[in-house]
Amino acid sequence: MSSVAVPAAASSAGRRLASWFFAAVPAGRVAAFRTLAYLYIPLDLLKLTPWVVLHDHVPGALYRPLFVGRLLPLPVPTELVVDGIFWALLVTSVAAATGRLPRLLGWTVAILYFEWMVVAMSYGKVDHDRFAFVVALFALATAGPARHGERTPTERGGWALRIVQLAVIATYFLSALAKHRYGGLAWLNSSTLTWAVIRRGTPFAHELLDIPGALVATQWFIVLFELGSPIVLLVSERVRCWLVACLYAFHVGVYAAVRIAFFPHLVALAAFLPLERVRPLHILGRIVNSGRTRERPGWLRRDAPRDPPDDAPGVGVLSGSG
Amino acid sequence: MTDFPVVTVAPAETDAPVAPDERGRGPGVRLSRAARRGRVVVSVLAALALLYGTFWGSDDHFPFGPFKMYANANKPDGLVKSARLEAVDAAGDRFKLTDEATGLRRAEIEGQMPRFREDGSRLEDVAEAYEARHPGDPDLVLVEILQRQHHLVDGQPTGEVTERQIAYWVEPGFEDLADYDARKAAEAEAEGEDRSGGS
Repeated sequence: MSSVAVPAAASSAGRRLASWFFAAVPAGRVAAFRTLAYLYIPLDLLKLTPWVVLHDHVPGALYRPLFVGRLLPLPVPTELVVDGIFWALLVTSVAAATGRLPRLLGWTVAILYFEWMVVAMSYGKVDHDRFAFVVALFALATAGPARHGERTPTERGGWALRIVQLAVIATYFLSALAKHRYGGLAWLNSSTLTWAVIRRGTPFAHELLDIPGALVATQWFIVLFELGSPIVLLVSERVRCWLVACLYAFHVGVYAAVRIAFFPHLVALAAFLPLERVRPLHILGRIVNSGRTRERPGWLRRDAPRDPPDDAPGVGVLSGSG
Repeated sequence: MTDFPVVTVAPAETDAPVAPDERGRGPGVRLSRAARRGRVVVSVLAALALLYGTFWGSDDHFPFGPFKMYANANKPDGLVKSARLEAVDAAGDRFKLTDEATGLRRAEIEGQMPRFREDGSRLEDVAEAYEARHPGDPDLVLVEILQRQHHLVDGQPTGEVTERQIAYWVEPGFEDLADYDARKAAEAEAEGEDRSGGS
């Protein structure tokens, strides 16, 4: 071993990187993230970005396709195209949220949503809150089957969640570099947030406007936290959960100040969390049944061996592979 | 630091047969060498596209364009511009065209402003978008983009606001509706008469 120390060290680093990149997660985590991501789509279509479907009556001359829309033979959005994608996405995303046909429904939803984004962003305005969510949809199509509460480790699912995490962190980190590209170092001391607050600030934000230097200090904080965001990828799960909670808190603060929320990004951010521990339907089933009878119905009993208490040892460990 | 340390114990680059306790899930549990390679290639290509977009790309390269939310450094002494669409219909009513009325967001009108500035007749497409959403209502005879400029000093609005017409499309025969300066002068005159009449 010592005679090939240098290549061994290099390949050991490569292996560590590979094992981090493909680290297995409990399948239940993939199932939970899948349901969350796909259920977000109806909310997105109907409630959060209802303006996209309004492009259905806009004449084709105002469609200025993005690079990808010029590269691929994508149709000019007509009423038929826009409404067709709208309904197809509604149906397939809800179906995909059940976890059935993960590959077929996953690719269908990912491609439909991507085309939906082309329809959304090809009329003169591009939004920047979608990258990690679009990555999540394509990653989920590759993540393989997974059931809620399932503890079997999966590398396919692990890679899918890892790539979403990387996309989330890239959004923060690269937005700091974009600020440098467009605003330069002057951005740090500029009046950008002042300008944002004047245009669309809440009463809470106007309070900040009155504190000298508060918004400039916030700008420094934002850039430092964006540049420091990759730390989230390197810490233990416990610390990571706290840091992700801080990220959510940051977005709540932004929403409180200027009523801007990057909803799809916030969904993707959940890829960092041990979502398999949150099982609303399971808990609901328990509550309903404990009120009714001591005996568990068949579907819960079958599930029971797969779901030991949360303090059970060896969660997610491949006990036989060592 | 990984969540599942035992996974790191297994050699990362082997096609080891599926362990007994991974029953029933087949290829979903352990990725084959080829599957790993494919995922690494796709990840690296996406990362390169994103880096290119961040340093040299633009919004056009969605989803790999730069994440430039509020990335511009605003000058403390400058202008805050905001545009809006106004229309006059065949019944003579003048009103603001909202996002819902046309299906186009204000930011989209602002994004295509260079095209409208170049050729105002392109706003006829906006009139068509409105008419498609309002089949029972009178057609539009004028669509114009008006821009307000709020003046800033030391990052604070001075209260001085100027407005100008950026572009217009008008149905032949209604050209006088598009004369912004004449309309403003007439409005000012009417307001003056109101004031003198009231005092």
